Amino acid sequence: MKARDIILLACYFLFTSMFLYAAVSKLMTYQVFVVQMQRQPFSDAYGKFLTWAIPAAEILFAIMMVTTAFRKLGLYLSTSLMICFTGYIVLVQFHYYGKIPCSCGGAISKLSWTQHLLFNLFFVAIGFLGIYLERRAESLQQNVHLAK
Amino acid sequence: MLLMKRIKLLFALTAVLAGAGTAIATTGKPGASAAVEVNRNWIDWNDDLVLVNVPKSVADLYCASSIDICLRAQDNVYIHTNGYLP
Repeated sequence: MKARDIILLACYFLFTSMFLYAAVSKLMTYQVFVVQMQRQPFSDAYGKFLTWAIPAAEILFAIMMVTTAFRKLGLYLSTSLMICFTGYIVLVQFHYYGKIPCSCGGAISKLSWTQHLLFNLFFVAIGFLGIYLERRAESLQQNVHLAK
Repeated sequence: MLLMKRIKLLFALTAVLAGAGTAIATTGKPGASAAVEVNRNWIDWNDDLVLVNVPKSVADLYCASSIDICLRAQDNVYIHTNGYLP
């Protein structure tokens, strides 16, 4: 087992466990999550959509990363979702919306916006690292096939 | 190849257990000092009802990330969530 494979496994492990933790803790305190979403600067309809769409997406992407066939797609989608969350936090940091409570689950809800930004940037970096390693492994496999 | 697949599967299952298990074990659970928690309605400082029939530990989660929001129990003025008042 190469170092690249171990790092890649760690990337998938961190993303899967983090998304499942976030989704399950949101669902366990769903009432709090709904109220927090109502305080976000979205329209009522969009806010209602997000209250089930965000946990559903987190669970779906986590399940995708567990399977062999869809793990790479899951990694791409998870990284995209983290980039969206990070972009939203950046807008909050620049006071684009004013002060807004965080709609995060569990221990993540105790983070300040700055801490949350760092947390998200860490996972965006992990996502990019995972994608880079997946692509590199793919190109190496193609080179081996061509050499044969 | 088979070993690699098994390791991947093992990591995936561990990730599922770690994520979901930690959330179930830690979210909304009462602290050690409050063995039995009473469910209450929680109102903001404008007396608007915010949370219905939830324990203080859950109401605490609602207030934790913002200094702007703090809730108090509808039935007891001395019970309120931790944090700063707006």
